[in-house]
Amino acid sequence: MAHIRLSDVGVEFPIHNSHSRSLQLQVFGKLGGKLAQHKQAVFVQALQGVNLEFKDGDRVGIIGHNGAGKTTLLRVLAGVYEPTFGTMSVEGRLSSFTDITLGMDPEATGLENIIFRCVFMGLSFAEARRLSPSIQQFSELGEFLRLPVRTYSTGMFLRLAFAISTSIEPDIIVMDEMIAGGDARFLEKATARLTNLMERTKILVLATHAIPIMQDLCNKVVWLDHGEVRKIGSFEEVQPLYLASMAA
Amino acid sequence: MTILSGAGQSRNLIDYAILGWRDIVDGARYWRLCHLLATADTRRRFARSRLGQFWIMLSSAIYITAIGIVWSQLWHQPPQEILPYVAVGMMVWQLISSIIIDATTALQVSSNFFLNQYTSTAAILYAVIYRNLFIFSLNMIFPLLICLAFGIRFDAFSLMSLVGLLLLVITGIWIAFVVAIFCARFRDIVQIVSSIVQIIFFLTPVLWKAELLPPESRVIVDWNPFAVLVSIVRDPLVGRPVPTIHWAAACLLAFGGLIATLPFFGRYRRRIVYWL
Repeated sequence: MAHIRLSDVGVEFPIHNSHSRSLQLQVFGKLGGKLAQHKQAVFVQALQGVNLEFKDGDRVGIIGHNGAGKTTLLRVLAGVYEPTFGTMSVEGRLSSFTDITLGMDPEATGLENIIFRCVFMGLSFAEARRLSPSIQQFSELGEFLRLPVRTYSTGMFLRLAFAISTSIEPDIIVMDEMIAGGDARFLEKATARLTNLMERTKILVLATHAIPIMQDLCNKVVWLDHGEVRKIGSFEEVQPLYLASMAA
Repeated sequence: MTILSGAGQSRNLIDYAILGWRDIVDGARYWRLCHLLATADTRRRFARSRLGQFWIMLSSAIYITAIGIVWSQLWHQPPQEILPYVAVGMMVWQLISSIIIDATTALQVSSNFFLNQYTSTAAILYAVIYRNLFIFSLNMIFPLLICLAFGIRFDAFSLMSLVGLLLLVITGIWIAFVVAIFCARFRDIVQIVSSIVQIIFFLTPVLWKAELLPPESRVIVDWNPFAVLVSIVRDPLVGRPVPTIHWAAACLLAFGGLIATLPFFGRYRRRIVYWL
């Protein structure tokens, strides 16, 4: 069983400018007095009082304007940011699809990269080797897999990254916009594979601006506004309100 | 199940030390990642170069031989005495200095990992140490051959240098943590650290011997922790006695330093991602 619970979660970022980044200015700022006004750290309240609970079967779509806190929320779920306030608990194996090339090395061959990327997603070397044949087949890269990845075109590289990243079956998937890669024909195949994976996973959390995709996939929509949850509900409930606020 | 709770609540030094310790232990779970990160660097460094690591070994071999010969001439010391000393000492120093220098940028270089999934800071720094130990083990081949060539006999006492290496690695871990965290927060420290390392090199008996110093200057060796670290690895190998006080100092440095820096690490380990 997979489960996510956020109670009263808040995230506050310190914004470091070139002044606070510099030790010299920090020290001399304390000695003098003139620089004092530059010294104050600026904080951004990226999330505030967020209460959410997701369980098996939840297909969550997150909407909100740019800077509403969508990516921050996904990063909190993925364990990147520790909440500044409140508590979060996550049960289940979580995979974050925010950068599907993470852990891949341009100098290594395609075959090596399959192992690398799988290990970065938390598999053991043995598990990675077991998955490798099916990944090779899906990527359709054939003999290119024996060449260093730096010789690949961008499309080929993304194709490999996609094939690897979608080959594992996590309990929870966190995704910032839909991932894809490759030419038109591969895209069709990729979409089918991704949709299938998203249907099988226990919890999906997807932030996207593509309203039709959200309508198809999600049974729950969270509307974020200025770092706060404005409304939670079904797509039909939330989406019109969101659009109305955008028009206003 | 992962539970993360707000950093806003107040904690004391002991709480932070426990958090820090937990992260240091937890980092070991990511040994696969450490292995990949450590070897990736070596692979990248030597990609498209057929002789690979051999070039580094060769260049340090030339350097050591040249320094050894020049030094023995300058200080009228027999080469069989100065050459093994300089060769082994130089490699040990390189291990220490490259751990510190690599730690200054380790977190910034991995910022992509930190921003996309939970990444153990400890694991990233273990990778730094692992990689440098690997390079060190290759680099030591030539100095060990020199020792044999000049008739140094390895015995049970030589094995103490492995104990010394272990203490050096533990010290390296906490130094790497402190340096990495400071350098992630304050970007201008990166340059300062490399100058400091350079200065320490001149103050540490690597190219020269402590007993050649006039008594009034001995203080720079007696109170130099890096002199201790170099000596506990080098001296057993080249057949020089290691004073008991050095072993005591090294243990204090390794374990005392680790314990003293745990709260610092526990306090800032999860802030790092905001600085990258």
